[in-house]
Amino acid sequence: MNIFRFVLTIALVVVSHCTFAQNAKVKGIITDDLNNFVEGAVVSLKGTTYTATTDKNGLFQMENVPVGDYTVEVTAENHTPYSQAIKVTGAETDLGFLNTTTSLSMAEESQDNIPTVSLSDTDVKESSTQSVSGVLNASRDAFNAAASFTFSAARFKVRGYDNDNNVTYMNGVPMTDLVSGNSMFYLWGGLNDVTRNRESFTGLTASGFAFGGIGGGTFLDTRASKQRKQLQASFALSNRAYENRAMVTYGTGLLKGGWAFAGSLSRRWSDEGYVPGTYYSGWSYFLAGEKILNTDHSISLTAFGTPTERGKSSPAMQEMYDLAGSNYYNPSWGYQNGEKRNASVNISHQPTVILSHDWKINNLSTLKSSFGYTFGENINTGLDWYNAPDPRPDFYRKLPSYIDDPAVAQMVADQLRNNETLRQIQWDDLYEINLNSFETIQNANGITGSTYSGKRSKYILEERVADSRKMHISTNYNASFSDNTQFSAGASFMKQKTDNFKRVKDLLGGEFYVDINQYAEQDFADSLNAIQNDANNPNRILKEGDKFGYNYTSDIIQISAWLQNQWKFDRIDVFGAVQISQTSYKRIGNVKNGLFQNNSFGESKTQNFVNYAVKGGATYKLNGRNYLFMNVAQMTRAPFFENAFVSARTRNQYVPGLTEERIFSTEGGYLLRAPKVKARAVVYYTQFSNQTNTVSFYHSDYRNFVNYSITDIDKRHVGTELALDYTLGKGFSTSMVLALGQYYYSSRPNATISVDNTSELLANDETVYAKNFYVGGTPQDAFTLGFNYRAKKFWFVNLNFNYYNNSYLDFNPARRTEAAVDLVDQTTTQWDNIVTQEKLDSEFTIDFFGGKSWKLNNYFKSMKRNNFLVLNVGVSNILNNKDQITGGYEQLRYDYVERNPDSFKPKYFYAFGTTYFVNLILRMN
Amino acid sequence: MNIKMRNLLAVIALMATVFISSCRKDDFDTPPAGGSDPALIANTTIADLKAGYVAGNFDSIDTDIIIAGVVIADDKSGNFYKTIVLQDSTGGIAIRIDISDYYTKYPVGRRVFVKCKGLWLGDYNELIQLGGYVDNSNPSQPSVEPIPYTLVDNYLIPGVYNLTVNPKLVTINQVLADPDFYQNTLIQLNQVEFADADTGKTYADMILQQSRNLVVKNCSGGSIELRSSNFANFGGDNVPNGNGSLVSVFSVFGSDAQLYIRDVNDVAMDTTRCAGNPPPPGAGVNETFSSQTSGSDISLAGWSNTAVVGNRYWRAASFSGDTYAQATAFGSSLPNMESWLITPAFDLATADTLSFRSSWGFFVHNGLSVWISTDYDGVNFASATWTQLTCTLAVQADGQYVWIPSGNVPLTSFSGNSAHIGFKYSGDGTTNTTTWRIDDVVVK
Repeated sequence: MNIFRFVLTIALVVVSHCTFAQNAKVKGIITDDLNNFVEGAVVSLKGTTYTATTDKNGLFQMENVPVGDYTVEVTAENHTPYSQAIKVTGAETDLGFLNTTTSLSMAEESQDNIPTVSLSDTDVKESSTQSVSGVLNASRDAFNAAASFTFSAARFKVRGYDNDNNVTYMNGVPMTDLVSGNSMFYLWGGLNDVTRNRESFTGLTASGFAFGGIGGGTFLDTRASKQRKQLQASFALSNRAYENRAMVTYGTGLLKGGWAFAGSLSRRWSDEGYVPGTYYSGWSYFLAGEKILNTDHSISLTAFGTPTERGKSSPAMQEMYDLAGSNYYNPSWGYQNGEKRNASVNISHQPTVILSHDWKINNLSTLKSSFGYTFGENINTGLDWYNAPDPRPDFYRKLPSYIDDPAVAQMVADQLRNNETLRQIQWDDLYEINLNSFETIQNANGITGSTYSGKRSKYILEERVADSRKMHISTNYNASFSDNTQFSAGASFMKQKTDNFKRVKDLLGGEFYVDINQYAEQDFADSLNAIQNDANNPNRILKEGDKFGYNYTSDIIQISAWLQNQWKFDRIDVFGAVQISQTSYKRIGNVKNGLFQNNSFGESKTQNFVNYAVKGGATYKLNGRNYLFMNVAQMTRAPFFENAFVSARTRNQYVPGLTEERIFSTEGGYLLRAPKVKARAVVYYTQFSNQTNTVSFYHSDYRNFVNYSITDIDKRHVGTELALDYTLGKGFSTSMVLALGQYYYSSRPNATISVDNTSELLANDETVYAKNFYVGGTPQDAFTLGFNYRAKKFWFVNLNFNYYNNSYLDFNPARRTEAAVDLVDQTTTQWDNIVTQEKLDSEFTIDFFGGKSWKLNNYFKSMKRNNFLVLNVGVSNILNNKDQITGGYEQLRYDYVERNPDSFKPKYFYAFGTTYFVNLILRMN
Repeated sequence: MNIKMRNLLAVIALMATVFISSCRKDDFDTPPAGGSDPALIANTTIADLKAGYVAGNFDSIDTDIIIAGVVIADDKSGNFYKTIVLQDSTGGIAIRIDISDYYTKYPVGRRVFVKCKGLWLGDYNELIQLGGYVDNSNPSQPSVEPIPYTLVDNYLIPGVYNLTVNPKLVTINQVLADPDFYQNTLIQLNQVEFADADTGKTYADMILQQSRNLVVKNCSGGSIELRSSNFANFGGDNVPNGNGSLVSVFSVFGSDAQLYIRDVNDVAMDTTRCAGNPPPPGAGVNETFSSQTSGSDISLAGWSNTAVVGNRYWRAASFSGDTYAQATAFGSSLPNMESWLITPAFDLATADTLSFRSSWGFFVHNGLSVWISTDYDGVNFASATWTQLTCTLAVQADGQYVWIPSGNVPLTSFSGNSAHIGFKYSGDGTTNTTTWRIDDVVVK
């Protein structure tokens, strides 16, 4: 729950006595979330003619209001319209403080302004979850605001948790990809206007919507009746992932007959983003309709989609960044006939439809039910090649570091430094090779004696497609059986099927490609079948649009039920919640892989997990301003499908010893809610046990994918979160947020290593000596100090000073095995270089954010309704710090021959230098 | 309301303009196929470049020498590794580059210009090579290192494709007499064959995973070695046991001459071996066809699979895990079909009894007969004399797919050290379409 509601509850203590008078005086004070008194706010009682306007102290007063129940409505310039049920009783009803929110508030606009960071793709693990929109649980808590906005540039993860510990729901439907457990933020990217109605809870607190993850949850309410009644158009300029964003949103509000409609259309695009070779081209559409049938029932339908195509950047070794003279070097593009073309492109369009029904059973209980369906393809493109030189410009054999002779290495370095073409993909070369590659395929398409001749492409652009169909049905019951209990219960059923396959996108000048496994061809040259990706259709001739390579379906069902009760007493609030769920999945092989003929085609065994989760907590109310709380949770969780198979691409083989994950988490802290000071101090402790993770990467010597299945991963996340908001007065305020954490591996995991083209395991259950290694990919410590000024004339500025510390690189488990250091002397630097985890530098940045709004009615007196023009400007990383590594990884490939960790150096991602975001919004009510 | 509508329309029009103007082109222009010669002129012949070189010297080239030649060997089959062999009208030279699968860019038949300035001329045990630099880490054995991947384009400028280099027709004695002249050029030897001891071998040693040297002989006693890499995609193929022509790149290793083929198309040895020396007969025959791939034509070392009339061969088929040979005219449009499956030669002195099994499918005619020849040379079917053998074959009454043993067929009435058994299928595509099968052919 946010502060705003909370303050309201406190403020709405109606102090009155029963009198015999029929009419009463109603008064109150309108304040906002910045603790300003709101002047000129119009306060009215719905359905009556009673209105009042506030003075400079925010005070309003209405005379002669008949006793009874009303809904008070407050509208004010630059503030979100606000309404609340009230009871007018005595001669004078004092509503106390009515706390509205500024529509120009930081938290809201910051959602538009989240720096979009280039997203990390590891060599292969391009999960379908890359989001550009970033984290969004920006409720008005200073800590959450900092975590989701300020810290996002540094890829800060709250409590070091992976994305799968946080669930985002839209109208009751979890927007989660069941394959990976990640929230699919990209599904509604660009629909900022219609996803503003949100509520977040963090950590282990109780929520009436769902059980949630241990990181909490976010609930988006996009129902048409909840959309503002206005026409809003905005245009934004930026130099981040995209350069331009245009958006129009219209909401009808509640119409006669109980109907409400809302629509939004937006486009985000740039020919080139911040990183060279990246581009963006995305549309977003949204339509919602709602019918309030009667006081008890309403039905709402929401449909939206975001067809998006974006050229991506890939991480690179520091050697390449240095040669290119920029930490924004991007190896994934090259010139084709003088134009930049990107080989790594993400193309997605996965429309979602949500039908929901709200039923107010009686004054005490509600039942909310939803049906959701999401479908469509998420595609990542990349180069594939057949018996041809590696086309990647940063392939290690092309680099100076690969050459022993220093003078020659220097020549290679000079060449790469001076010739941009050599640092990028040479498309023209690929075309020339394909155009001159005439070959005849024997026994083409599996027909003995049949031949097929033509230009056989040596290089193609492939699409790695995840085509999903996900259905969700759920219902949630909420009831207050008494004044001090709140009961919630829910049940849900989710089913997801995702077809995963490769598809030929572009033959790059050639005429065909053949569906065979080139590595197998080398080693099993005599076996006609082993080399076949699809032994049922051998030697298949491929054209653009044909599926090839792997082809399997993940079939997942998740059923869950939960219930929760909250008790509120004078001094203490307690709650308890329990959830039980069943997850079952299987892999369905759609092709018979020539190397795994016995276990690649058809269905795998079904894995079944029954899991429980319990949590509970108590809040002790010292007084209305000081609270102490403590929550505890314990749960088990099924391993995610993407981690359950040794190599889902090729076969139905589960990771040996696949087991469920166990999580224990507890948090406790202190909350202060004073008029000028808001503070939160939390300590938390979370233990993850028995996690399973599967990652794979392309090994150029094996010419195929190598898979690491890591089991028995135990991780401990402990830390402290401090947030302080202090109102200095006269429009000045300051905020301070500090996150100190330690996220580390608390035991030694086991690694099983396999290759996609042999059933032999390269390593079986090998111990990874990684105890007390740090969890990478996030700063463990983050700090920000913000200064805000909000002027009466409707403008504000905000300056944040940020500091990040203790960030570690994700490590390669293979380098921490006995085999990796075999025969290496433990006292040498070589030993240290192999096993030590890389710590990244601490970083300091400064961000600016400001805005102003104009009430157009003040300039155009003829306007009848209130129209506003709003300008927001954000400048991130003002100091233009270009050395801030936000992520990356040690390459999973390891040089077992030389035992030299520098043979395959780590790859990094850098945070953008100075970027801006300027947004001009026109709101017409 | 009207004002509102107008506002709305204005906004929509503005947005539409913005959206439309932001469309991104997605179709990339395709570059030309390439394959034209660069504006370079070769100022030195390969022979001249090599002329002054003294083995073991390792010279850097610091003048603007440009040579041009046609690629005569690439790494497509894997027999050459990181070495391009380039030949002009005066000679050939090996160029070392640090790229695998370079054949995609420098295939056999493509003209390549080499800007030699900055490269090194050296030798690998007297085989002259151009490379990027010299590794002196072992001073007693310096070596020319491949041109680094990234630098190759500075030196090698490719031109037109599909040029033909005709191999020089030479004899073994000629090339051995002047190895420097022939070094790294394409030569052709006629009327040569693999030495008797090597005919049962594969090109490379795939068991120990190493290269193998095989002896190639002519009929007058001259011999030379053919070396093949286990990384070659033909490394596991059997060498032919006939006589014929061999195209190869002539190479040296110290004082030894070595030949390298590009792929098996360079070997055409399917005629009679040197006069009076037919392929050595085996002690007998024992063939279950289990090594054959169902659906493929029978292809067994020493066996002949000959389509005498029509274009159909004996083919492997299998049922219940058993693989056998079968022939059929069914489904063809052949007016006549005659196909022979002939065993390797055997010595009648040590092997004089034949046995096999036969069966039929979809019976309409008796199409199988069994023959013997004592003068078949393994290649020329027509010139051999064939005598039909009387033996028990499957008949219609036996029923479909029932295997009928032939029993022991005595061959004692024949003599000679090079006999062959021939299984003859005859039929046609219209009426005589029975499928005939044989299996477990044993001569002992």
